[in-house]
Amino acid sequence: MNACPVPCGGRVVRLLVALCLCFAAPALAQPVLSTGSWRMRMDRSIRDTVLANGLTIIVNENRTTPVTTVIVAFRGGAAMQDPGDEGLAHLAEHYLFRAYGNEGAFESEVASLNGTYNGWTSAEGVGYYITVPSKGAVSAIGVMSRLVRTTKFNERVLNAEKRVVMNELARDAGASSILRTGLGSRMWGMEWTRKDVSGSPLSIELLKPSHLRSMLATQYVPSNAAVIIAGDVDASGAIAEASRRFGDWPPAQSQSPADLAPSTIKPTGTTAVFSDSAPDVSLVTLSIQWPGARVRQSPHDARAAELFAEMVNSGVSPAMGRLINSGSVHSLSMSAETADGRGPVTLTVVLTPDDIDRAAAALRAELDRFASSDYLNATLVAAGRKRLVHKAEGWLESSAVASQMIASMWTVADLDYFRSYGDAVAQTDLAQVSTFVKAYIAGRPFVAGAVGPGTHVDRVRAALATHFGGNAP
Amino acid sequence: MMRSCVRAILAAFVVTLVVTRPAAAQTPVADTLPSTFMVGALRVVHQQRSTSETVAIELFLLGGARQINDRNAGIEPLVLHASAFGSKRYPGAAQAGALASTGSAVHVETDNDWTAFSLRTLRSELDSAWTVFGDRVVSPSLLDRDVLDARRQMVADVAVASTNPDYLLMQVARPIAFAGHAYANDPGGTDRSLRTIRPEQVREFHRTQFVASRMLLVVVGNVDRATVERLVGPFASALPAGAYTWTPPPAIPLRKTSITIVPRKLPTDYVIGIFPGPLAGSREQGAFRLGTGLLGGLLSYEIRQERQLSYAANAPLFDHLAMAGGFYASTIEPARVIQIMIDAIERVGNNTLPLGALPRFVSQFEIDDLLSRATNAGQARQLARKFLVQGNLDGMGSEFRALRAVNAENLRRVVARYVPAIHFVFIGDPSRVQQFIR
Repeated sequence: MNACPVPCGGRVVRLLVALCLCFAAPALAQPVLSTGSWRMRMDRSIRDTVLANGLTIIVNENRTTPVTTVIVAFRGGAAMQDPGDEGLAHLAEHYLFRAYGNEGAFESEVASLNGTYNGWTSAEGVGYYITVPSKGAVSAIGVMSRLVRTTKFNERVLNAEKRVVMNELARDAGASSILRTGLGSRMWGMEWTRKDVSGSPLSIELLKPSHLRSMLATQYVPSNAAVIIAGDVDASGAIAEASRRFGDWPPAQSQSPADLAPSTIKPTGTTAVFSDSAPDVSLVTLSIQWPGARVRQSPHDARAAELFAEMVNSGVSPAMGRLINSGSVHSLSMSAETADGRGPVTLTVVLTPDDIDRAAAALRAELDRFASSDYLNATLVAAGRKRLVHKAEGWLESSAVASQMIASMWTVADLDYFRSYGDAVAQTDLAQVSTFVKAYIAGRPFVAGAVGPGTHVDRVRAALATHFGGNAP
Repeated sequence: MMRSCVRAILAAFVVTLVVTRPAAAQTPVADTLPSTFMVGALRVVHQQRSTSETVAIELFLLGGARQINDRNAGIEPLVLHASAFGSKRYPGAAQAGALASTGSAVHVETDNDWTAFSLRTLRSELDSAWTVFGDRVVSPSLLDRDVLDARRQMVADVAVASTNPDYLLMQVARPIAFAGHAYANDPGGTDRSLRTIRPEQVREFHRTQFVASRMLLVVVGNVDRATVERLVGPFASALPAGAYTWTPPPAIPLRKTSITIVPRKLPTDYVIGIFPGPLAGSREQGAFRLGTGLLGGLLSYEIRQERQLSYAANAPLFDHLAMAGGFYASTIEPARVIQIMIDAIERVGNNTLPLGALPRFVSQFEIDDLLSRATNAGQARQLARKFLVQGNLDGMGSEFRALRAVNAENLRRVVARYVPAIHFVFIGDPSRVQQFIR
């Protein structure tokens, strides 16, 4: 059931972006793409410019469907939050839609264009978009220009939207959320604030208009933003129209998101069962998490992380063979988040509570094998590489999806990361993956955590302590 | 002032032309209109699209919930999941290796009307990937061990899904809202049904049900018809033809309204109401579709925008071939929300729905449709639906002409017929909805 087919302030798109960015799962010796093929196509279809006020404009032509998506993306996201501000970036995303003119004015304008809209918030970015039939592209650019330049502050509107966000938090307060928060706070320590997109009911309640005003003034400025127009448009005309609509947006000083990667992380290696209160939980979900690469500093490592995850998730990976096919665990998946804030890379297994000792021991043995030189092989790398290229080619089928990927990659890295993505992935080799694994995974500090039924808390806690405790160097 | 307005309008018009003018160099040249043809006893729908380097293949096993009962629900996806553990040409782990080497993805998805077995692949890998995919359908090993491993994983998937209140809500609502109809059984299976399915049942189901006459193959992507026919030929000839004849499902029966309470301690309560609808392709479907959209807009406005009682308040359309609609919200004030839903039903009865917004909803459906067709897989699903509803691919876009033809009186009549037969399910704190329990 689609619980949220209408504008919902971020959840659906956040999930989409997370799914796209957490490249997880399953190739041959011949090249996947001919060298430079992706880049040539991107150079043909994508044009970009930077206005005098610092605003980046990106246009991606794709004429297959008569629709156009207009996105305004801002760098920063949760990474700009100070302690006590947890959830601020997400609340701001919700607020902006409501602060547009009179109550319901934004919805009405989008409806008058026969369009659809939404927003998303991630650890390092915020995005707003409208998708309209192409004949409405010009108007959509204008609507987006007005939306993101909102300067009106209304405490009543803010408090009203807090209630909506509270219900969103309540919906997400299940076992996976409990585990994510528990792992995150142990992984990032005090810096969890800058990864915590959702916040808590208390942090949301305590947010004041002054927090919002300050955030918008320093982050919602042209030099920190990109306007992405994708779909059935002419690039020159779209750039001209965006320049006209956004060119008079006054420049302002922005905080530099370049320095926002958590700097003091010390994965503690401690273990915990985070909850026995999640309802209807009958299985144990156990996750291991490592800090990942900074995409802006080490794009090769970021792509190698994605490739490693694909390899682990492949139906023929050694991990799958030993853990799944042996019956130790029911499912296994690895995700590598592409971010400037050090990933993370997360390995998650689901198992039967009574099997916790055997499964935890098998998982620990698997982690220890990551360091062995024969764990990775060229066939696995080739398979993972092809899988990643397949995913990337899939983005290009839909201009709406491609635009979201451009926005996501622009916020965490830059446009060139997207422009070169397919070719760079196709050229990632065994040596690069091995280098990544040695530098970030094998024998490196991690955090471990689990969520499961209350009946097995002691056993799960003991198994975690036995097999994953004391892994800090 | 007036002159400047005219200038502004002219400028906007010129800009509109500039922004949206066709760019011939970008237009794919090799794309075709959808077509359908037979390969042996297998019906194939094909459309070539050169947007990207990918191909989406959807094999629909027709019938869905009508092929199962409450004791073997989940058996069809179990066959397909178990086939991943080996097939005649690729025994054991060789199959996973062969598929992985192509970088392709295979998915199994159940629906009330069919099970979709999907292949997503790069054009350059199509031949290799199709060979593995086809062998899984035609000649899966289905050894006892394969079936039991696949069953164990499906039971675990159900257990994980059951921690999601939305999943639980639908599991409770399905047999109530669809009582007396095949849709009452979940084609994906339940914990209880899956645990009792034995390997020999799975092999028998494959032998009798995996026949060409019960399949519809849809191929959309960067591949031409000649290639499709070359690939599919051996596959179709290896399948038994069978004697299955596709017919649309009957409509969901209208029954007296009900409310079911499931006590749960949750961070927020959940409520869903499901009401039957007409058959897809019927004269009423447009009005029903629009009416559901209208009610969704009303609920979202009244519950979320005006009162901030929920993050998610809407009216889902269960767009199966026997259609249904619903009301949905998560909330910590369920009594107020349910009352708003009841008020909405009364507005249906006393003709006070805001019908002025109808054109907006037609447009909303159109853009949603365009977006869903943008991907090869989305287009494949839409083509299959079109073919199964009307038996051909004629009149693409006719659905929207029908939507635009809906008038206020049609809509009132259709909505008033179906919406009052609503069945509510509430999951959460029962003390918050005492007034609705009689």
